[in-house]
Amino acid sequence: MSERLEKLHGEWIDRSRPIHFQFEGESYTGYAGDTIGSALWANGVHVLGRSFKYHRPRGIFGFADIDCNAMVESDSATNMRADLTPIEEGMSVRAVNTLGNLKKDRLRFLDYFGAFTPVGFYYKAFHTPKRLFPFYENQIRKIAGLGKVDTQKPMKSVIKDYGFCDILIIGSGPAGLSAAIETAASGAKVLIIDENPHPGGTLSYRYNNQGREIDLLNQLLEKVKTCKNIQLQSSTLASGYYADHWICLTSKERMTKLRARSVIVASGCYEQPAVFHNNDLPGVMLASAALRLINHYAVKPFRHVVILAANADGYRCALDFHEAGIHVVSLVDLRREGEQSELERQVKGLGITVYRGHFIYEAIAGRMKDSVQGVILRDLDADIIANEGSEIKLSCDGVAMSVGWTPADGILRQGNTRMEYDTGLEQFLPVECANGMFAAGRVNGIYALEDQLEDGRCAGAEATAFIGLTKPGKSKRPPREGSPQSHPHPISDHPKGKNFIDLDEDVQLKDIVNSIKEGYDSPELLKRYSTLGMGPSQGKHSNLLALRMVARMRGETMMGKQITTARPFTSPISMGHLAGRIFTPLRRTSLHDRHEALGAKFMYAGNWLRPEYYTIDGLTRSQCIEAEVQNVRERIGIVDQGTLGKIEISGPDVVPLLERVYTGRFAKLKIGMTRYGLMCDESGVIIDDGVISRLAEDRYYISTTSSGSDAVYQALQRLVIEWKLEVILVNATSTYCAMNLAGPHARKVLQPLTDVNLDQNAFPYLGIREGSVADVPARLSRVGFVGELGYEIHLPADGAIAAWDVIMEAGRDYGLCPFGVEAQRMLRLEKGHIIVSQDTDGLTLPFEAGMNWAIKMDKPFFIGQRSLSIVEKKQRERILVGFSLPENYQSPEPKECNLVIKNGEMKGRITSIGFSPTLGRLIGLAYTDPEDSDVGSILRIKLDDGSFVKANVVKTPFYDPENSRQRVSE
Amino acid sequence: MYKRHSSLKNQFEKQQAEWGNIHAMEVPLHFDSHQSESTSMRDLAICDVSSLPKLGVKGRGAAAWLSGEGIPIPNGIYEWLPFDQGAMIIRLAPDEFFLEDTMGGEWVANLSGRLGRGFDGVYRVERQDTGLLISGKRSHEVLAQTCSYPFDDSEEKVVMTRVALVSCSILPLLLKEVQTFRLWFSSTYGIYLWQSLTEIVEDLGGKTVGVKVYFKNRIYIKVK
Repeated sequence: MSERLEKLHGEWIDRSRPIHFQFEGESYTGYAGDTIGSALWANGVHVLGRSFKYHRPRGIFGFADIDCNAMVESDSATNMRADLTPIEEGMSVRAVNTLGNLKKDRLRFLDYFGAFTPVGFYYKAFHTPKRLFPFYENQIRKIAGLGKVDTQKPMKSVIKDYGFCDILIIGSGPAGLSAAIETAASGAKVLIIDENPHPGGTLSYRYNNQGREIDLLNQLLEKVKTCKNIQLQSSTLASGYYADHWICLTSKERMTKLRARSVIVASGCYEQPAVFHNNDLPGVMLASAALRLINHYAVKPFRHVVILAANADGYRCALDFHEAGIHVVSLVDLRREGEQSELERQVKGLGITVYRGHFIYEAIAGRMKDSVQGVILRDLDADIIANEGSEIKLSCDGVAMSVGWTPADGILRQGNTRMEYDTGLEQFLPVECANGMFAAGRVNGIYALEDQLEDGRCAGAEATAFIGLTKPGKSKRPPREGSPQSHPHPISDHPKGKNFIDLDEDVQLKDIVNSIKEGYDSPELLKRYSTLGMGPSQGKHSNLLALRMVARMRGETMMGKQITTARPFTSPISMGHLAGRIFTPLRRTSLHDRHEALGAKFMYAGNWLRPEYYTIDGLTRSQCIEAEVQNVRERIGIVDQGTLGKIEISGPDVVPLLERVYTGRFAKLKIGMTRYGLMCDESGVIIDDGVISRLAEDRYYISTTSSGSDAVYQALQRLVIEWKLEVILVNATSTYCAMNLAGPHARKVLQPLTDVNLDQNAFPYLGIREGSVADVPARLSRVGFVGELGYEIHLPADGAIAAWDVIMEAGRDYGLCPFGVEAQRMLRLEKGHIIVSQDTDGLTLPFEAGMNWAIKMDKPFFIGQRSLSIVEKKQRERILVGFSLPENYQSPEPKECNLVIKNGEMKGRITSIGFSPTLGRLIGLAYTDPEDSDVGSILRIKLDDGSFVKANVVKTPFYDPENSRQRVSE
Repeated sequence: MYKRHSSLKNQFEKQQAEWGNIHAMEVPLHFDSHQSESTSMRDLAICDVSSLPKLGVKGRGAAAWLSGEGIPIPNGIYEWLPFDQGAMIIRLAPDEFFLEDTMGGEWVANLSGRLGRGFDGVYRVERQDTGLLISGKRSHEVLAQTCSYPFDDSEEKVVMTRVALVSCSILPLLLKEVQTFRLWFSSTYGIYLWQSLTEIVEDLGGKTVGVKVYFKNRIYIKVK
């Protein structure tokens, strides 16, 4: 730990807890609280990674969540940022994006071939000859990309939760803490978050040599602690902003979807680099990065440093570095006028040479380009261009850049805050914040410490007033004043290039220049063409620099210029955070346990899990389904219909409601009887169907399709309110289980179990009775969906298993077996019954589906009636018909959605098809040209393989057209 | 009374539990010692209480009829009141009420019998909800991971919201002086929601407990 400083007041490391870890196979020791980056730097390791394109050595650069060239991976995780990730005992990590190892990366030769890979080269090459493209693609894919995901490793669970607060404060620097304290008295529930492991923002690392800021930080934190309504949460990033102050907060193990009533953004600024030859060498870093190393981790960033400054902060850094025992070789100020304050005198007083109006033209690299050996300075002319022939060479092992700031405004921009460039401060500033959103501190262009505190107080007062906890007052924000903190053009050209604007993607100054020359001269186009800002740091270091280049090359000012659109996430987060715990609601009927025990093969039907069929050892799926169909036709079967929508409707206005909602008539439906009901929308399109049962004068029970139950219930609720009807609606879909006992033996099995008289005369076809089955209260109805004598039994969900067990036992001697959805579909197909949404689509009219009989156009009114009265006069474009294939037809079997073709034109499609074990042939329903709907017509069906098969149009129902099976008297 | 089944019964059959019969439904009374479950219920625990009888009453005459039956009527919508040492009534709408009995209580069964299929202006609403109970000082964390409603410790109203994307009624209350959330939802989502919630409860170090640890004293205590 050769670079570790003496213990500092306020440092983040715990020197009593040494931590041992490995990097690139070498063992190192750090302290608890160290990040991988700080611990390695303390151990004298300055090469932490390789750059994306040229594989140049890279070290610590920004040290604030955006060091994208210092990313490491372990056996369990990849792309961990070394500047953020804390070291852990026994941790073993290696750099990403290397071939071989970090030191001897076999791709480092790419640095010498930069001339062959200019900006946009991948758009201009590799596409001819075409046959070689797969080869190129393969090679490029091998080289490109950061880190590798090990899909064999177990998935780590990241908690996703919801959070709530009155005021969210992003950033715990002076403005954020001050805002929080201001809001506390109002009683607001306040959450302060900070992406760093410790609060304080700039107070935690700047100007420590004076001691004042750390003391102030502690005072503020003490005040915060005394406020029970303020919660301070470190290591938490506000990574995305969505409508109505919905903020995505991410930490290592958690993603919180936080709803705040108001948001104060006090997120500070990102320091901006200068552009000069070799500005990426390990040892060249932002001044704030160096200060963080010193003050947070007690690590000496360099021994002999040249400071490149364009603001007062650079001078303060010089004082801090000196205090930390670093030899400040010189301070190079880009400004010709230098620093007009006491700071310059103080710096000079320490014997530090100040070069006004100069720029670092070049950093001199060590032999392996893994260190800084010195810098070459040039003076600047009035146009901020480095003059030739005036070079000064200085020896140093580090460069600290303090040339400007850009607001950390990702959340503000995502919240539609209008940001505009201010030529006074040479940075973007919030001009008009979104409703309920407030900016404070540096992100708001306020730099003086006292002003930041005041700005925070004002923001706090405005936020509490916004949420109505205090009366709106006239908060007087401190003025944005003083000399610019950012230099308007800290960019120097160099014939050898390698003066990087974007270190993520190795975008050099010449790449930007060439892109603009090629016409990509707007920020959005420039980004896509040059990949600028498309790396992990999302342009936080580079966007502003590139924008300055665009303005300069177009001969324009920065006024009115905008950077690219800000979108979530403000910083990269792991895919695991996005995946998190997955909720996929799944419904099961109350008989689910019994189906499982009977070997059901389940299928998804909407969000329901239903038995597709019941497996039988030695039989295929088709054989199982056919056996179930035959059992119903010949003996008796039972199917779970719990998924049916069920709605109880009561009240004096039930009849008017049903008459208006359904196309049929229900006013005269007798008590104890049921009737088919068809529902259309306003355009006459079929939307649902079901059975309407009258239980009493003002009490009905209706069923809907499984998928339509919620929609129908909601529609009825709306209509009851709109039409001001006195109707009580109860969605009973989950309340009642339903099962259909069907087959010739149905009556014999059921009669001993129920107090309802099942005699044909007492309980006719389409009747409904209330009574009990196996002592469970039940509603029994005689319906004909599967075309056999059958009883639909509806009973309370908690009694379903009790009844099912008794029925199954009673039916054993009669051959009772359960049947699944597939058998039910075939049974109803044999009867020619349609299934709404399978045999209809979003445009199907009742006339097309052969449902004319269910439409009573002479009723005074029903929904869709007017549309149907218009379209019924028009010629049909398609019609649903039954068809069959010859008994001896061999495969290939047509499938649902295979097209019906006539004269090369599509005339319809198959909606249902299957092999009928009863009829011994393939039967189905299909839409076709009305001209081909007569019995005996031929349909040409195009199969999946492009071949055609002919099918005969036949009359439906395919089975038992006289409905005699319903009149079985035994 | 027929033999009732909880939609969750199968979820417990592989666990060691002492079973009991509550209102004709077989339920796990406890999985562990009373002391252990008592500790869990104060820390974090989840329990199936679907066995408690439920009844809905709806219609313009509902309030008057219930009042006539001697049941206290909550003033506001989503407010609730305990009665008969453990039963509860919740007002879901101006003319809609939900009643749930406690272990061993007979009020709801008797009321249900008297209501029958309903009569003019008073309509019966059959309730077959799955009922859960999540309790303990960390019960908030379970809801925070599944529900986007900001529950407040002082809240004493029923909240209609969604838990793990399933529509759910939730009542925060104090049960044996422990922060507790009562959940009611469609039994068709019972297994899904039980599995989702128990996974989170177990991840947080909580446990599944039987009904006995909660209902020994048959008393709900209102927060305020």
